[in-house]
Amino acid sequence: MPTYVARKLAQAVVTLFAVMTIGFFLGRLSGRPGALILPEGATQAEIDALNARLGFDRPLGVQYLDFLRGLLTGTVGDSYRQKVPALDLLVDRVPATFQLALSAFVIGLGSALLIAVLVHVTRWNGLRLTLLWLGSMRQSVPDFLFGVLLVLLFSVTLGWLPSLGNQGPTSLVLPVACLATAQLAVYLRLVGASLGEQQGQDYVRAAYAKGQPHHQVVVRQMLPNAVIPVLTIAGLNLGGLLGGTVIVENVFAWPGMGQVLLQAVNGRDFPVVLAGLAVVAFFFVAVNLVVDLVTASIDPRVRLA
Amino acid sequence: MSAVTAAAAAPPATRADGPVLSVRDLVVCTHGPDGPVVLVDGVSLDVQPGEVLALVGESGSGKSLTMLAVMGLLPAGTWLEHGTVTFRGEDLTADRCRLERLRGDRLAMVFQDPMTTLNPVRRVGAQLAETVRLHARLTRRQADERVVELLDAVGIPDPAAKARDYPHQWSGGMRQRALIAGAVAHGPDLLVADEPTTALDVTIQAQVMRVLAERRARTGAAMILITHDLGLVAQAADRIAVMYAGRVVEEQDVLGVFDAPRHPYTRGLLASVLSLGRDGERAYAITGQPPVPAERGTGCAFRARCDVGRDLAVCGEQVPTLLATGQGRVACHRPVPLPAPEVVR
Amino acid sequence: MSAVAGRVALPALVARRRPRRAPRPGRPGHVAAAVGVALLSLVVALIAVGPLLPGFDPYAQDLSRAMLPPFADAAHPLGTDSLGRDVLSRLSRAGLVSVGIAVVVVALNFVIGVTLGLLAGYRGGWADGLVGAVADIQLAMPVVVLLIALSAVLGPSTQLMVLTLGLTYWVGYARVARAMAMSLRERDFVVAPLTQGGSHWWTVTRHVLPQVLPQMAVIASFDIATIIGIESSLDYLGLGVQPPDPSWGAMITEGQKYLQTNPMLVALPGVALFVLVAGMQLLSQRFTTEHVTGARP
Repeated sequence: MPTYVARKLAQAVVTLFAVMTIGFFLGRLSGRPGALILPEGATQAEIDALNARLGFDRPLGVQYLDFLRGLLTGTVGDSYRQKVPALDLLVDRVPATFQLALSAFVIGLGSALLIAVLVHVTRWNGLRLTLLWLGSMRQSVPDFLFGVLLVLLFSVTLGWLPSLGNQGPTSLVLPVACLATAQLAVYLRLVGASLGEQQGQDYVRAAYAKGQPHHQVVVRQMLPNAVIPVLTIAGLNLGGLLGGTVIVENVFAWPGMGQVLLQAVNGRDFPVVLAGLAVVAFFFVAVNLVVDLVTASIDPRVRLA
Repeated sequence: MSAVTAAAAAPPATRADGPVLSVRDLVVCTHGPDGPVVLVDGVSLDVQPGEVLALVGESGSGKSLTMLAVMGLLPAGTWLEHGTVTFRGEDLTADRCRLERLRGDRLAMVFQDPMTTLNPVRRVGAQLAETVRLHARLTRRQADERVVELLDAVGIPDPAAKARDYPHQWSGGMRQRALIAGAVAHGPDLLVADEPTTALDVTIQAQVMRVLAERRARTGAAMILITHDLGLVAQAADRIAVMYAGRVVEEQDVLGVFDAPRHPYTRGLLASVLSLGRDGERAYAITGQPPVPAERGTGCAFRARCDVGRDLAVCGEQVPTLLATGQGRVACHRPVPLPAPEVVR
Repeated sequence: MSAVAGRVALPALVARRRPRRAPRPGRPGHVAAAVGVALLSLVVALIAVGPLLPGFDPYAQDLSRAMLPPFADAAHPLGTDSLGRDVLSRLSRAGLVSVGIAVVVVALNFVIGVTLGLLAGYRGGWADGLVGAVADIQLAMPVVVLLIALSAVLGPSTQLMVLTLGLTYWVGYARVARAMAMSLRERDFVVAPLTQGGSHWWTVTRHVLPQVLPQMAVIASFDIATIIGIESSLDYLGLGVQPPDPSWGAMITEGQKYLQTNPMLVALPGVALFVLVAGMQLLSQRFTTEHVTGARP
């Protein structure tokens, strides 16, 4: 187990490093940003001065080394627009985004597990088909549209829930509902399929043979096995969850990372975006690590290999 | 010896009247491209208390499916079309709930591949403890103790520590022995063993068969041994039922069948096994292959491979019924004649 | 006595617990497909008929006639937006733009995916490993974040979005192409020395592509709907089609400000989007399953 963890940690660090490097070179794609940042009518001298201040007059290799040195001290550079470290601008938005994404994931996956097990135990095919159809419907609606529809229904028409910003616990309901339903649709199908796969396995037949009742077979025998492939996919789907969170933040004016990042686009403020990449990559790597560890705790074949 | 062990070792009440298991006219079907296909075609069997019946046949003969149908464990896509199963006088086909309560308790089954029969993500001891607690009111600790006793009884070394292992850490022979111990833990009246040694090394097979015999002796259980290995049959079985293409074609005492098989297929089987021992001669094998279920056609399913039946009209037209002979039963229009008493081998 | 001999049809016995014929997964049947076609034709009508109507102009502003509800004015059957632009015209043009973008994106994905897939499957070894690694990174990276990053450097534009999407969703095609290439590689034993690598490549493409293309073309055409969904999300964020060009996503962004007073500004593009994507999905379920399993309806 310790070697397994060490190996995964090493992979995580390498991934982070690779992402930051790619990000760095991405940011140099358009050459010197001075002209883009200053308003029209700025003189060439002003533009050159800005470029020098931002470090763009040095050779690329030197810039990269500076960047790496910055990484080690915990910064990706200062925002072009505001003279503060870009990471600072982003970091106090992270908890809000994290709150949204994590809630949606937990509720989505959790409900999917509960419902899928229920459907499988009761063998109620009508319910299964109805739920799958509902899931398809939800998946045909892009997240932003679904969010706007939720606002239209629950905020504007019914007036039950707030639609903008973070005014308290009720503000969390609609954004989470929007994201969680998408997650639910995905995972319900996956868990259902995974349970179906386990149903035909020999150890399940043996469990029935020894007299175990159906509901026990599903929960105690099949579920741990069924969850393993779903967890792996969950780790990969994180990207989708994050993208969805950025969109939903925009729909509901949720004060998270999404807002800051989109402002950075308009301002061509690349360091902020780079900071965003760093946070996203870190989040991604951390969650996949957790997924790996959880998988290892369920599946002894992985950790004792 | 704990109170639980003592109870399990007590012999079952003898029932002078009638067999432990009685199967009549079992028909199992599956979906085919042109409609239902018959896989098991009207099988009837009896098993007497305490005896070992070997159910023999090639892959595809329907021997496993027959017993899976009896146990109510038919795979998805197959179903019991017709037939009655009577267990200790009760009609199981009429009451599925009763069958599910009897499973694991009075009626147990051991499967072919001990690796896939165990849940790979749970410890072996935990799975066995679960088995033990399914039909007896035991606390966790009592169940764990019982598991250690069972593992010890089947020769697993250091059972308390080994019980905490996961299935992939055990050898095939150990897994199968543990599964057998679990299956007979509640002292069933009937144990169905579906090719219990096929997935194991030849050297381990004897060990597993010994465990089977010993556990049976302890509990007095009858056994149906499904196998294609006639050597095992000779070693362990009292009676044999030979299946071909979904039907029982011969039924006899084991000693009798080795001496004088009545069905041409049985004769062919024996000849192909016995010929392996003789130097210099080519091993005998019955020509051809068993017919695919959808193509069994009218008449006797063996006729295409039968020296006699190939040319006989009646073999092509009428399915032979299982009729009693002096020694047992055989389904053949022209059974193999009994050898003349003075033939010397 | 054994049961009835040699039968093809079973006698009328009561079958206990006979299971239903297992339903083939993903086959919602003719009704769903018909609904899909109906929905799609509505959108096609919108896109095709729009330009033929008198007064079609997605760009003309008229602040004196802003925020008109639908059916209030004969010249603007679906109303006007906050700048007085005709909603119907914008809706129609936006549809055309979205479909156009999606076709280009899918074509890019297709070409890149098939090329990389064939390369990975046929060459194997380092090529397979490399393509696989890139694919993994691709799958993990959310396209929204990627486009944000690129837009912050190069400025948001339709071309950037098309290029980014075109380079993002190739993995599915690559997988299929790779599998086909690998099976073909197994079948034809390759003894040729490395120098002959070129001609083998050509032969493979001659044999593999004709088999692979029809199947994947069907998948590709349904991916158009998925891409439109993604593209409209990006437009919504301001990362795709830029004003004044119309797009359903941007129209919804605009309309969201007036949700209380004129929800139609959101509802109309929302419905158009939903109808297109749902219609495509319903139709695709039927066709892709047929192709994959070869089953007849």
